Amino acid sequence: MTVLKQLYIAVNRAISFMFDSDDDLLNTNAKDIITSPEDRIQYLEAVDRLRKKRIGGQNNPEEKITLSSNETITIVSY
Amino acid sequence: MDLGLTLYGIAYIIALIIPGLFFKRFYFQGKFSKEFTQGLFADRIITNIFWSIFIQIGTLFLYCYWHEIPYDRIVSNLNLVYSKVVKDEFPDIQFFFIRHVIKYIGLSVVVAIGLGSAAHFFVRLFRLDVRFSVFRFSNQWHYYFTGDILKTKGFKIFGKKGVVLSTDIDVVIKESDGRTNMFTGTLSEYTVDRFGDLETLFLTNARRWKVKKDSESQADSRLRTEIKNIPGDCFVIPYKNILNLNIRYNFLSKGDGNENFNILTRSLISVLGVAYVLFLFFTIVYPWIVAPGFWKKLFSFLFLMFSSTFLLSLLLSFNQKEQGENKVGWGARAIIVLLIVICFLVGLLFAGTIEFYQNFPFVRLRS
Repeated sequence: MTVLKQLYIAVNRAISFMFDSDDDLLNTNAKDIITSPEDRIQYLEAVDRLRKKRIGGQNNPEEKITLSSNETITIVSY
Repeated sequence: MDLGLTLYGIAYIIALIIPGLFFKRFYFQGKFSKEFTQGLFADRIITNIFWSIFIQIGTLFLYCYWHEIPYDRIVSNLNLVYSKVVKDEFPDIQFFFIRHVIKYIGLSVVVAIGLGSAAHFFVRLFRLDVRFSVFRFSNQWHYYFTGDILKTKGFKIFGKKGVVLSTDIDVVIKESDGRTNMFTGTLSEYTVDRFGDLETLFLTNARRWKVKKDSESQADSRLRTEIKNIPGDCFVIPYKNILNLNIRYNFLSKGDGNENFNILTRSLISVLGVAYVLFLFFTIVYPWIVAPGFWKKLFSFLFLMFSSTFLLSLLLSFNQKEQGENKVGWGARAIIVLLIVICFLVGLLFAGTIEFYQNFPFVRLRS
């Protein structure tokens, strides 16, 4: 059943890739982050820190976060 | 009752209005769907007629080719009908003629939907609406809220590049008692009315700015701002209450890994992407040219489309972030490869091999 489930996931991903709307306001990466509870908190806190840095007058502040998949991303607010 | 006028009216609407309606409905889709009802009525009728003529020419060509019906036979049948109508007599219509008319109308609708969707997809895929103002849709808010506006001429000078992860909004709202409040949050959705004006904003992780006195003393007039979380999953703000709003984009910076590896991976992805697009084009076009008979063309097309869908799922399986049971393993990939081959061969079988060599004689190894 696991292989069948993987098959279903693979085909579902292909169909979503073809028919997903490109009008979403959240980027695909952002959607993956927001759907994970741990990553969501990290992301929103990083965005909050960026906002405070910009209010403080810092130009192009950056924040690095490590997601639950061990991927490190850098968020920039110009 | 004037039979001719009635029949002409019906034929006019079916032939010159409906295909254009479907084309525009599927071109203006998603966040741009409200544009379908915008504009002067006369302007919309004229553009409908223009696109309908274009679609009818294409449909007529396709229908005659697929059913192997000579164009002269269609003209002679229509002349027979016309000669009866002119004499105010009801035309002698056979059942097969009605069947052909229904199929033709259905095909014209399908062609209109296909062309409209393809045109929308083409414009959005290559961001032609962002690069060239002539293609730009009237929903300007979409370009501001997604960050696409930064790629237009007017904003390019600011040099802001990168992928926009999310958009944060700061709004000042006027309350019914005249006071103002400021809210901030991540924009997750918005709606526009039928005229294209902003209607509602939906924020997640919404917070309210609060201004407080810094001390208990009446003499001390220092103020401080604090931000308070608004509990809830979605904060709805009607646009009519908004005095002004500020948009902040959060970009995903480029990775700080090995640049050479990234270039290699990107090149490989580009090559695979181009190869897939060519294969997809082949699966879409080949059966309609080669296969004999309408039903064999259709089944050949369906099976070749299945094979291209399985191929896409195989390619996407190498770019996945899921863990555990949701990750596509090599067992599933092997089954996908088998399905690709089976569907491809069945598609070619329906297309027929004899016609293949007649159409592409240079492929034949022996004369």
